[in-house]
Amino acid sequence: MILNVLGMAESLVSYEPSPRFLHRLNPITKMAMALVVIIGGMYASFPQFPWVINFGIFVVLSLLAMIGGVPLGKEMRLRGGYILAILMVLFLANLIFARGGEGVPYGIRPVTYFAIEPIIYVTSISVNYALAKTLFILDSIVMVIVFLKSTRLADLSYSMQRVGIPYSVATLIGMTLRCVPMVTGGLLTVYNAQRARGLEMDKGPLGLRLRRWGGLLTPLVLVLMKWVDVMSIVFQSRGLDFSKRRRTRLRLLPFGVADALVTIVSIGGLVAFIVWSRRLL
Amino acid sequence: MASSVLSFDHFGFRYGKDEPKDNPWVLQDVSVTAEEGEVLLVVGRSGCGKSTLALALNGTVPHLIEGETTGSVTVAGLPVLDSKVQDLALHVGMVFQDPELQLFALTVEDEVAMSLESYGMPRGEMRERVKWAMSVCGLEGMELKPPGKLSGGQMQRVAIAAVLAREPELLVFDEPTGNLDPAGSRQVYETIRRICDERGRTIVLVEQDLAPVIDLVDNIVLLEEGKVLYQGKPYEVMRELDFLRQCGIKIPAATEFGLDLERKGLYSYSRIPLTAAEAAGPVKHLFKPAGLAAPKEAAASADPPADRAPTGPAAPEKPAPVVEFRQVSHRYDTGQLALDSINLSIYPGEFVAIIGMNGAGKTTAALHVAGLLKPTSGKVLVEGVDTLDKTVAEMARTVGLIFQNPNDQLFKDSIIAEVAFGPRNLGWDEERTKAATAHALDLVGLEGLGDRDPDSLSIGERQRVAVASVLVMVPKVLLLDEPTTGQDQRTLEPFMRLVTELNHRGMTVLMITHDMEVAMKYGSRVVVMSGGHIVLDGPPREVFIREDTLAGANLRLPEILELAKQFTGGKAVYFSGLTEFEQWLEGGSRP
Repeated sequence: MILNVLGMAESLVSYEPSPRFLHRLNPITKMAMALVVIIGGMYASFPQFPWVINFGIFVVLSLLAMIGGVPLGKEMRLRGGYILAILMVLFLANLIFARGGEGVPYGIRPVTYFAIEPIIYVTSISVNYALAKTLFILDSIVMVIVFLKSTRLADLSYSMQRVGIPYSVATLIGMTLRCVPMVTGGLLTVYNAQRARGLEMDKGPLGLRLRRWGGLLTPLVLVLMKWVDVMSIVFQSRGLDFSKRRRTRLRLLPFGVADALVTIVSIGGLVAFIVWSRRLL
Repeated sequence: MASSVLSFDHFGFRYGKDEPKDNPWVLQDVSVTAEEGEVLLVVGRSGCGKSTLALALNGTVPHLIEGETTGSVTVAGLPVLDSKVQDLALHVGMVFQDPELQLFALTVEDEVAMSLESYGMPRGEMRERVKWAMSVCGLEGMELKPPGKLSGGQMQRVAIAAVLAREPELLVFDEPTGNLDPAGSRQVYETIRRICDERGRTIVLVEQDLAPVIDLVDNIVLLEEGKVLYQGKPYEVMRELDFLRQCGIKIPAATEFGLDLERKGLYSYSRIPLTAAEAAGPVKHLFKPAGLAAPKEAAASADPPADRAPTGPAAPEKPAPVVEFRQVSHRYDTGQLALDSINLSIYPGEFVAIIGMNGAGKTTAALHVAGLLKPTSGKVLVEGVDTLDKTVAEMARTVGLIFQNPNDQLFKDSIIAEVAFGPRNLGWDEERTKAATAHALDLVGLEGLGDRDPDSLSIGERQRVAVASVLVMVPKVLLLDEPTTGQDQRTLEPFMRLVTELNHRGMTVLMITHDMEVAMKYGSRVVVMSGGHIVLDGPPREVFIREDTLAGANLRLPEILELAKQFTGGKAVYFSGLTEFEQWLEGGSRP
């Protein structure tokens, strides 16, 4: 399970080259798009809005991925099981525990399908709310995939600095992402080394399995500490540091007309939606 | 006269921030210099202080790794003990052993540019420097590739380019090929050669193996227990064969051959040969070996028959295979096809060396034997039973897997607890566990050390603990994944003697290795893998004459066979060792 999650993380952060327009956009533009999707989706998840708005965002993002050369289908086939499991849990939790009667749009009477008073209410409103919330999470996942698959992480790190995130934070994020495959590989080696001596990691009662995984962490932590030690020495011996001195940059990422247009349309669309929707609230 | 770029003056060091007096001196009274443009080789067995010496050149020792120092170190005119690592980094470029741990950026060109950006170099100049460093290291076209997706050799070349781009006066390579396969090592040595040719840069090479670099170096420093035992030209140092062997240094076959000829009074070299060409050139006319016209035809098969007879010393006649791959393929989640319909039968008592470059499928095959991976298609049978039908614990009773790095395997606080870990997982009672643990420790020569913490042992001893921790479960098959990597001759030979002894007692041994000499010397059968296929399979005598197939798998011939080629008109002919080769040369007949 842990290895699968790490594998998913590794796969998610790997850039898929393509000459299409999405890949050519400045990462700051794509960050703005991601922000618009997240704010818009969050806003549209209020009970007053029908779930179809978030579904519409999903359709738009899927089209964008298709036209932009992002292998969304492949990613969904590979990781769809995990994503579906997460969405199911979210849907059920929101369906059961969203207080279906709260925040009801004026003039709409909720239909109660199922209730265990005073805690659980499954109403027409909570169904809409759960669908909208779940679709919002799906939209966010798709946006992250679209963003990461069309953006070199190196450019992302650079863009973070351009929007004011300190060099140390941006570089550390980049280094962390770079280390994901290493940690996965290290964990896999340690995992196999213990299994090769007869340790059944995925069998037995939950408590026993957790204890065994705990035992596995000792060699992994030791290996990781050694790596951190070596990397720290290498980092400093190359004259690198996180000080605030002036730095130059090998590559410049231009912010072109297409970037300006996409940013204006995205932010404009979000503002228009919020202004329009305030009438409903 | 050239000026000294580096100078150790009676330098000494011992580790320990607060109480260094509790620790022994790692370096003592070291006085070494290197002039501008000189290539200095520092050799010595594991733990002799080579890496500490290298780390003292860029101030890592004593500024980042603290301890007590004596004497002084000067690099490019800067007193190391009084200078910041940051300032020294402008003058000293250091390449470490593990390529993966040296790369921080997310693309190759960002990695190479990282320290230039950090020093605020103007973009135009930086672009030129990055381009130049990448071209010297043969990295053109890889600018935007993520370093994590490169091979070990490519990653190491990125690390070299990253330090070369700063154009430091001194370049230090600390066992730069220690973690690489033969192809990766070759790439790195070619890059170092290009750097040597490119400009008169001072280079310090820290190595255990002399052969790949001996023709590059101007001077050699031999370290033993932190002291400089010998310092001089390679031609002078290499005359001290016995002395070098005592220090755990592997001697190039060409040098041994040359010295043998001198000892026998057959020829006297003006200076001792270091390479096959130097050894053979002046003496070819002295020998008229017979049989060159009809060298033995290669019989190694790329498609081994299922009933190949075992060649191991303890193998009975026509036994059933203990391990069998039937049309086995394995595809990882990433889509990579690691094994492609392989067939392989391993018989009881065989000593099989599996060779191939990284990514050839060797480790994937080994993990299938241990039941840790299951085939995507086909079957793996161990003792006639499909591994799909066995649990990991059941497999551990039959197959003992030893990993390359014992640190990945060992995590208990005593040797006894470590060795008893497997039996306890298998549910053995305390009495049986205790007896088996004592027996296993006895087998590997660690009896009486059971209470020691594995962390306090040397690498060779830790490896023995790892062997004991699988032997304790009395497996039929011992599976070794790169057991000799990073070991000097003094550690390697006893370890291989232990494995050979276990094989002679009837244990089947499968050993994955990058070391052609080890595969040739110890393997009774050699399996060559490339791209998920078995491309050669047979006894060393048959495999190591298939030079084209080996080259296709990115492998090289063992040194002794490279030397022999000088006398056979470039044709690969097998000799089990130097003695057999010399007998053939002198006797005028083929072995």
